[in-house]
Amino acid sequence: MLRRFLIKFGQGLLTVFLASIVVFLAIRALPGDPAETMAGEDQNPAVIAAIRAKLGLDKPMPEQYLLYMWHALHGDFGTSISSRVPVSTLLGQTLPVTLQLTVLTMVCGGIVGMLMGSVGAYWRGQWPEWLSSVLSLVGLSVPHFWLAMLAIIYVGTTMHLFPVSGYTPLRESLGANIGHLIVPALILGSALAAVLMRQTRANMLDAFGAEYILAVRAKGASESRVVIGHALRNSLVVAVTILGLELGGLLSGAAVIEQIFGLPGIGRLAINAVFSRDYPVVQGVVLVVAVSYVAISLLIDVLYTVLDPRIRVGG
Amino acid sequence: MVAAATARVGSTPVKEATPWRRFRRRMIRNRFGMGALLVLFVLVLAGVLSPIVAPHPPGDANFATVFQRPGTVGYVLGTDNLGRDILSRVLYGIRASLEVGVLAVLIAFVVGVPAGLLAGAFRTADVIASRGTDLLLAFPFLIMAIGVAAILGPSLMIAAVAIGIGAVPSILRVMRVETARIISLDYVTAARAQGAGTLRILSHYVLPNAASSLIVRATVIMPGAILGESTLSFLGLGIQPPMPSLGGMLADAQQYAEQAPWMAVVPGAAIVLICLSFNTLGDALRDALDVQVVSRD
Repeated sequence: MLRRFLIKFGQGLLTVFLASIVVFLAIRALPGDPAETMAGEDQNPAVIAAIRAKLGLDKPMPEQYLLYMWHALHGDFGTSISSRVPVSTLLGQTLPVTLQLTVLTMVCGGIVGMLMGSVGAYWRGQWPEWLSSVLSLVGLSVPHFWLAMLAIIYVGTTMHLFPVSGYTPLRESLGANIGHLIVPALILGSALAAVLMRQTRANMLDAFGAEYILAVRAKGASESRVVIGHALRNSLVVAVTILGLELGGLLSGAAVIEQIFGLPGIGRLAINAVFSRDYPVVQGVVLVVAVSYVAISLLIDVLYTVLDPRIRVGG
Repeated sequence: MVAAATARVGSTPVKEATPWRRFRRRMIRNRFGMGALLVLFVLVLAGVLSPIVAPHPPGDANFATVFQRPGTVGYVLGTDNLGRDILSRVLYGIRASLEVGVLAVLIAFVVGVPAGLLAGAFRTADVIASRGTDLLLAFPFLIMAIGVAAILGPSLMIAAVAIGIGAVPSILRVMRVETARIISLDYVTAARAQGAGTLRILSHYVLPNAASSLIVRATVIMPGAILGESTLSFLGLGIQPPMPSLGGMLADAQQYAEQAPWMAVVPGAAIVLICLSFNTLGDALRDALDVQVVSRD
């Protein structure tokens, strides 16, 4: 158990290390010299050279990388070129927004997906199954940004059912915070729900045909206990796996959704930074996202062992 | 009826139940699958022939025909803010989306299939491949695609490459699991005993038997790639104007939502129709080919 966790942890560290190198090299492949960008109007060679020296761009690449990582480990990701704000401050402002959006998306998508999957499996061959299958196919086929556009244009602005733009921090008001995030989370969660629904349905169908469910029924357990306490419980492991696999896609989707709903999250920060060639910000974002991805994968791995005791034995 | 029954009782069946026949029979029986196939056939035909079937040139601005409603004579799906025919633009957009989708799937296959074969067959390759996929997955696809577009300049080809690379882990995982499964089967052991080398086993035994899983996977990647392309084009990082793209049309539509809602509805509906058809076809193929979905490797 511990050994397995340590191996996963080591693999995660390796992934973060490789990711940091890839980003570092990719950033240096970006066209344009950041020093020239920072110098602005004043293209005096002496000024540019001074900026290069200040940013450490005159040092050899391996040294630049090590310096960057050394500072990053101490929470210093450099300074944004366009806003002159420390990257760590920007990350600290935007990361909570994206985390809340992602968590709310997982909760919404998870509940809707598992509910629909269970309904589809329980009423097999009847209209609820048909409905949930159609909904899941549609959920997999609709572009998020289009749903978001339609929601803003035809529901948000004409009916004023929800705020179409902006964000209220959790500290100020829980209600307003969720009010801003719930529609983006539901839209972002549609694909997740679709994937989960299919998997849950398949697992539940397997479970309903399995002998242990027959045994539970024979013992006289109530129908809700059979479905929720036994069949659904065993689908949870797979649901958690899928959440893990979908995480990367979720973070990508979050970037677009943040852009459309004007949420000050990390995805929006990244998109704007790439457009304005703000390389310290891009580098910081990618590093933080890679670390979060690895950390959440690890967390999911631990969750497995809690949900499915068989894995503990398997080591 | 009686004749059929007697024929079945006879010791030799009229038609041997080959896998291909079984697949065809199941496929034809699936109404949704056949419907999706038909819709896709029409969409692909319309896309490929868009230069011929489009009623107007897609870039033709005409300020006399701005914001025509759908149903107007000559402009079945209406016109946009520059008076361009939406039907023509959607047809060209479908063509571009399909191009990106096919290219992305090809790229994912060219990289993912050999890598998955090796990973399934050799321990060392497996270690390298799983680190590689972890690395790819740690980069959110969109950020990667945006980065690539920022470095190399946005274009249809760049979008396809970025999406294709993003889809490599999915192909690689399927191929790896299938390779490991098939390699341990008895007929592979038999082939090995007869002196077949690893390369021959991979190409003559593993690959053909993994084909159905790969086909099903391709029909899942395709709609994902088309959604990815439309997202990139929506953000201005995919197909560049004046070339029409469904995502780009939706980006234009944002400003005119109240004046011309059809500008937002028609291209979006086209994306949904393409992706829905691929997903439905994928489901039908999966059922007909008896492919298990790999949920965990």
